Amino acid sequence: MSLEKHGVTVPAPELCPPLLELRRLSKCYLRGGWPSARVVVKALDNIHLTLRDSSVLAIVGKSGSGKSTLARCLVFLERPNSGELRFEGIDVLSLNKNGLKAIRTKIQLVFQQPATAMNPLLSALDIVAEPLLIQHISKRESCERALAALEEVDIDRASVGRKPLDFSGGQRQRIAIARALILQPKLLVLDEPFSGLDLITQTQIVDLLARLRTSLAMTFLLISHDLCMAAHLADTIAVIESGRIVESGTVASLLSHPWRKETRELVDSIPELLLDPRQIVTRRPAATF
Amino acid sequence: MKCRALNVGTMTEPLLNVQDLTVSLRSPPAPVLEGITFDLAPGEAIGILGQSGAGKTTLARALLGLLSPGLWAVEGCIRFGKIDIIGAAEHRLQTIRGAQISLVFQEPELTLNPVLTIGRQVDEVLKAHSGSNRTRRREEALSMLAAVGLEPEIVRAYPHQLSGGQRQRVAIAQALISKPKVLIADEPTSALDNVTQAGILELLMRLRKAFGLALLFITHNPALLSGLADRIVVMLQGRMVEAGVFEQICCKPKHPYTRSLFDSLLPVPARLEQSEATLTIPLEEQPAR
Repeated sequence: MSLEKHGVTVPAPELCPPLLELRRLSKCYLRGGWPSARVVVKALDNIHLTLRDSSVLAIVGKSGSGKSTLARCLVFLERPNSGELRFEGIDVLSLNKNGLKAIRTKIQLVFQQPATAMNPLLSALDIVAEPLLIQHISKRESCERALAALEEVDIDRASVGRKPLDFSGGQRQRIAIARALILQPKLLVLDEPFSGLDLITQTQIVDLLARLRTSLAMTFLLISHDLCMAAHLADTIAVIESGRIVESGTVASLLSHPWRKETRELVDSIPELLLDPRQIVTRRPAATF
Repeated sequence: MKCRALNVGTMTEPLLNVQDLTVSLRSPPAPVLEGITFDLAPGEAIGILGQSGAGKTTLARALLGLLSPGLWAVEGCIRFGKIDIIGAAEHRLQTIRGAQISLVFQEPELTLNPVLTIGRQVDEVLKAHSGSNRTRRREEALSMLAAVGLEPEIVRAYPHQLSGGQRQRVAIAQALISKPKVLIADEPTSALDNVTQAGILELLMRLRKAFGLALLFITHNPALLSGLADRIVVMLQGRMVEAGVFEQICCKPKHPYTRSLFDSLLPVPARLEQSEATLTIPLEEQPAR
């Protein structure tokens, strides 16, 4: 496996250009103000990442480490203060509004809380069809494609007329994934897709994403605080702490030989059943991952 | 009676006795809890395990008499010592809530008052339940904040200035300051990252021993009960489907739903892939190209 100078290395053919490249990306916020002094907070500090086609990279870190800021920068909801962001070789930060609009369809974000990311007055079908209508695709075709996308994520036809709040948390997350996939993006950024869900639903969403990855040959950038869930989907993991990528590697290497204190903390905090494994008779077979 | 077969038997005199508890919404009439029966002995820890919508939070609220009679119909028996919680008058319940039975909610940012300092909010609980003077109350508050791992300076902070883990520690300090006999923790780590979650679980285990607390820990994740709960009650759609000693249920779950809950615990990949692992190289030590 080759190593990049900095950042994450995703195993992929050498000739294939990276789908996404981040170089020295930094983002600062000003916090506070009168009567106290304003403080500059570095949310992202010199981030280097390379993501190749059809791979899954997980960014894992504690709350407040800069994960969501990174996700927002990747989908151009935040403008970095410095650094480079290249998508398919194009310098995205130098693009004008129209140029960004064209790229936006290729990178989609699934937000942390789908309940607050959807219009509560629209039906599930309208929510999923909306991005197509914005792209001036006919209403009939939009509806047909939205129905197919909802079926792909296991939302049955009978319930597509229901409003987001009539669905469970897991179903809302499925609708959010369908909406993100409807424009057939090249990169799907998933910001804490398992938070707020119970364990069974979390596992179902992991299974769904794994299936979509295979069937659609998707590239995912998964953001999570849960190293275990991330490990089940990702090829490579990068650990972020105080806005900096502190360690990266393949799932197996990072989990078995964590180098940095921050990574060891994340590995040690994975909840596990502290029982003699020989006593546990019902466990998912190792072959499933 | 059907629920009696699932009763969690205890050897000592129970502190809290729940017998055939049934809770229904009045309008539209809908059962939420049916035939819940269990005992909680002094110093014992019981885990209430179930998916979202299983009725876990409704059970916690019923145990504290927090279900408004206008909206909810509560039947059965909840006995705390000699007091029947269901039939007790509001002024009687106020002497129990926070003083004898305390509740730590899921999201501390919603339960802490955003415009009061932490010191004032912890003091409020003491004011309501103890006859101590201001100096004595301040000493008790500082001592309890230290017990949950917080610095004395935190008394001057407001909730928005604290991290999620610190806010949950404040909520635990508030819950324990009147030295209750029973602590109900309703998914106390669901809004926290894994590292912070591990810290809160360790804190609860330590405080349980130090204060001789009986603990009712509500969760959707069986791994969180490992090493914490003596016995568990598994709930599905408002009913108890299985109850007993944690290790026994974990190793030999009888009900298919319990089995599915334990099956959805994804194994930690590193534990199974260590032989394939290679060393992870931290970014600053990765060779330059």
